[in-house]
Amino acid sequence: MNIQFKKGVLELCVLYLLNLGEYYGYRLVQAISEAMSITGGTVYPLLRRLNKEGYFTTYLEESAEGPSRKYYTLTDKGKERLDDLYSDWRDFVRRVDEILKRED
Amino acid sequence: MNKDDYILKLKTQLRRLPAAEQREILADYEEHFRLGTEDGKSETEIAESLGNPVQVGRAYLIESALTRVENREKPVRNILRAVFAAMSLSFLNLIIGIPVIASLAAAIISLWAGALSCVLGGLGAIFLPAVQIFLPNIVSAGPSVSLGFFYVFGGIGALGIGGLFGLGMYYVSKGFMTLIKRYIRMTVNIIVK
Repeated sequence: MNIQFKKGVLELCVLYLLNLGEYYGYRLVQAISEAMSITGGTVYPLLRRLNKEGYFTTYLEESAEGPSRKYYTLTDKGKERLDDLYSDWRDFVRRVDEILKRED
Repeated sequence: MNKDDYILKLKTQLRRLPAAEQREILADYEEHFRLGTEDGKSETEIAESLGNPVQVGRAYLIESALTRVENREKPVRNILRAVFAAMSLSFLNLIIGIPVIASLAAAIISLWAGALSCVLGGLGAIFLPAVQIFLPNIVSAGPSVSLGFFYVFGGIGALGIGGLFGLGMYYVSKGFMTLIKRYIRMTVNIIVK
């Protein structure tokens, strides 16, 4: 997959997944890195930056058997940002498809 | 590479950051290794899937510096920090980006110098006649009274132009900083498997 495409959509994918459900870092990295062929070392800094922007809140869930996990929850601001990026993406895909449909 | 090697390499990159920031960042990776091990993966596998720890560390350095620029904390020093970290991340930055940024910066500095000299010249012109009138011994040869007025008004004009120029340069400099930040973020955004 083209690097330029990936750069553009990483934030969108992270926000989208976090909107779907409760993710902790490791699970989120798994979900995204497989799909997009990127490293965890790209995801964690992105999560940190987006957290600083106020798009998430985080909480630590202690577990009796295993290690504690840091969960990410989307804030209202994060949801707004997701909506913006999502509609940008949909618009973009539509426009590109228009061109790719042409036969002359 | 095992977990301790990885964390150590990462920590080395982060050593100049405040202790609290370092702890927060490293906590994510500690957790990742623990959960990955629980998942049945080897430390080597996990380390490889995370990517080069030196590059990862530099990404945090850059973001930290850029955040401090945005918070107006020592903006010039932090922009330089971010630029140097970005330089070491990517060969392309080194060869192309940095010289371009440097020449733009030089251009901006000289324009500021122009604005400053306009202002200083204006002030000089305004006060010169006054100095002559009140202290005729200090400045001997000089303009007549009518020419004196010309000096003053010319000086005020130069002051105004210099001031506007300076104001314009302020906004240009801000815009320039924003451009640099955007450029640096663009080059950092991704470390590929």
